[in-house]
Amino acid sequence: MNNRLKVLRAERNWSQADLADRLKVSRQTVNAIETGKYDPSLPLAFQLARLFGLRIEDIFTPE
Amino acid sequence: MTATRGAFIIGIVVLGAMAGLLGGFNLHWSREAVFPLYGILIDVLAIPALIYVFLYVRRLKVAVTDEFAETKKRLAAQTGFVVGFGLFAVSGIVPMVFPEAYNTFIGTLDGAHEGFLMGRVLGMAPFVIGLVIGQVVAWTKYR
Repeated sequence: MNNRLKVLRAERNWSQADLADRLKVSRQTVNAIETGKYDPSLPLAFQLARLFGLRIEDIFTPE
Repeated sequence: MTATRGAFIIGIVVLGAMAGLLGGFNLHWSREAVFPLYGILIDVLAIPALIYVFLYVRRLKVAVTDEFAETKKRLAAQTGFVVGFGLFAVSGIVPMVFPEAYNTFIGTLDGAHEGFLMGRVLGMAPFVIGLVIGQVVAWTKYR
């Protein structure tokens, strides 16, 4: 799964730790999602979409 | 994350130290002619404290665990069990493949009790190794 998380985060000047705090997950989780090593659960994907004001498919795209 | 991993690690260390000290002292007291009264008093005070710390550490663990941590843990546990069982199965073949080495090893044991203890250790060892391998696999996959 590809994602635009790093770009979206950079646009807001957020560090991985900032995003992790907002999502209430660990920084490692954000890093693993960004690097494509881990696909988030649906609730976390919805949380991300809500946080960035986008749809899930605007953030995540299938490879 | 409502708690830091550092707090959880400190909690684990404190819990381990408390349990270790309490267990050690109780073992020591139980070997005395009469279990000392101050030992009973310390136990009465320390055991509820130990239970409280245990419950607190469990709360910290829940607070520092998210879905990614769960995924890593699950991968480590599954890999560990499979590898452990594989190693356990392989260890059962050793006497058939190397009968002389096996008989020599059995000959070095001092009686049935030592054989029993050795069996317990060797039966558990593959799963302990599997546990370590599981952790390494999870760490290398998600690092």
